[in-house]
Amino acid sequence: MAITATDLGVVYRSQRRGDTVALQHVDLRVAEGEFVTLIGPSGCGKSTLLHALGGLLAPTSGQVAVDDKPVTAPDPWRAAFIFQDYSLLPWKTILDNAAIGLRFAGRSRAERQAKAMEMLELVGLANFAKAYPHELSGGMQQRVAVARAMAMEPELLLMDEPFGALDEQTRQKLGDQMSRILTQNGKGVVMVTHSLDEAIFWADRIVVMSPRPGRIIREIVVDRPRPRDLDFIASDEFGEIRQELFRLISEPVEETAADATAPTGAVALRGGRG
Amino acid sequence: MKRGTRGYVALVWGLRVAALALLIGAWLFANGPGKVSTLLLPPLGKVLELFGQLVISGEFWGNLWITLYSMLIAFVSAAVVGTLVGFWAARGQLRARTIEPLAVWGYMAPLFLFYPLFLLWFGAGPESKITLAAVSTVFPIVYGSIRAFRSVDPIYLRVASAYGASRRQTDWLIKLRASLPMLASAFRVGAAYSITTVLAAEVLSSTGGLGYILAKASQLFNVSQAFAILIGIVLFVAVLQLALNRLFRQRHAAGVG
Repeated sequence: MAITATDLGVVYRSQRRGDTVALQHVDLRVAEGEFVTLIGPSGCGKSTLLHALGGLLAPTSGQVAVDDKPVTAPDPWRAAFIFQDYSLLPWKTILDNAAIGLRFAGRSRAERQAKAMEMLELVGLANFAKAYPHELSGGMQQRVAVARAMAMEPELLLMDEPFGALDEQTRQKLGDQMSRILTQNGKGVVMVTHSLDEAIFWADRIVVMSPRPGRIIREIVVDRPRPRDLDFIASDEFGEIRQELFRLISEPVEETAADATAPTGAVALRGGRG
Repeated sequence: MKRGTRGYVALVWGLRVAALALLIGAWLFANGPGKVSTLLLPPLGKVLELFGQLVISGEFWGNLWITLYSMLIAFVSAAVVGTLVGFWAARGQLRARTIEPLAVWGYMAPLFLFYPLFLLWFGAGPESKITLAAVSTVFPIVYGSIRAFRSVDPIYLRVASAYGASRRQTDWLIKLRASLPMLASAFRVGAAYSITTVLAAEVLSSTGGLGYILAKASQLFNVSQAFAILIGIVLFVAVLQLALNRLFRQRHAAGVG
């Protein structure tokens, strides 16, 4: 399954602040099993692009298509989201949280519990199946969010700064674990990140975006088999890519500072109305 | 001391008992050295004696039952209607904008002043109390439930949408569940309205209920009896409060959602 965005544009309309062009003329193709990282200054529309790819946000112009079929609504079997803030449901157990997509799909209790349990084992949280989200650390909650996405056996995972809220140590450990899981399962991944190291270490291809209006300004292929060892970070190749990324992202810094906040409040959700 | 430790719980209970002891002390002082007329404040001993007699009398329980079922019918019907109206209204911007100010008006307005009309329509029996209490109670519940449903964290709605929830699943499994804590506080306010309205209406004009026997005792200048009945009412409300707490207790959501 390949996912394609063609001439994608997203405009947030707000009566008070006027229109904000979040994305403009974005063309992107993610091949089956490919790991793509999206990087760019804050407010460049990385998350908007991710949401549009998953059908969670209707583009103002252009279209997203999966194998030539246009995407009009989220479908967790096709592409499952992992959000930055974990967004587990606090009133449900870890097991029920991991099974939520299967619950919505109307699967039997036995089936969804078995599947969710399998995924919790995969992320090493089987012992916490009966616990509630507030009893878990941030890193553990994020693993539950990964299990919730994996339970759908999606062809593509859409991750929005999945490790953004974690401390450096947890980040590395979880990142290492996740990269093995994802590579073994051969999932395609689109991951938004603001960490240069993450963007390079994980990716088959790095997509660099400009400040608002968000456009793709550069694509860098990282030609090294996954999963990668930590030695990769010390390599010359890694250093060169890092330098180039740094230059690309830090150049237009004055522009970014002026309007750094993304208008998340204006994002219109598809499906359930707010 | 830390919250939740045994010592803390003991401290809280100690302070509660101390507050009660203070009240009893003030009463005893007023009866004795304070020289307050027994017409205004009857001796505590006598009131307690009468309260004892009251509790073993069938009259008290019969009237308590009348008051209790009047409140329950009023509260439950207002809760069901109010929640449904609130849920329906919260689904659209136009509806919410139209209905919310109406709900606030009904919440603030002294609807109790319509009681004479209700007496005219439904008679002096429990029916007039039940209808008046239900009408008074429905407004705070409509208002509270509109607010509860509209303030569901968009994060949960995003999860529902991203993981393929239908509209009905979003309503029942996400919106309703996420708004339970705020709904519970709307129900608490509603319960207070039901209790107050039924009792006050019974005092003014009725054929039975705790408010009725209280009014009767006062009119006959039987002050000690009136105080004994008041103690009964206070304890009755305390039991209702405990029941409500139990009903709306949040088990899992420690501080979140």
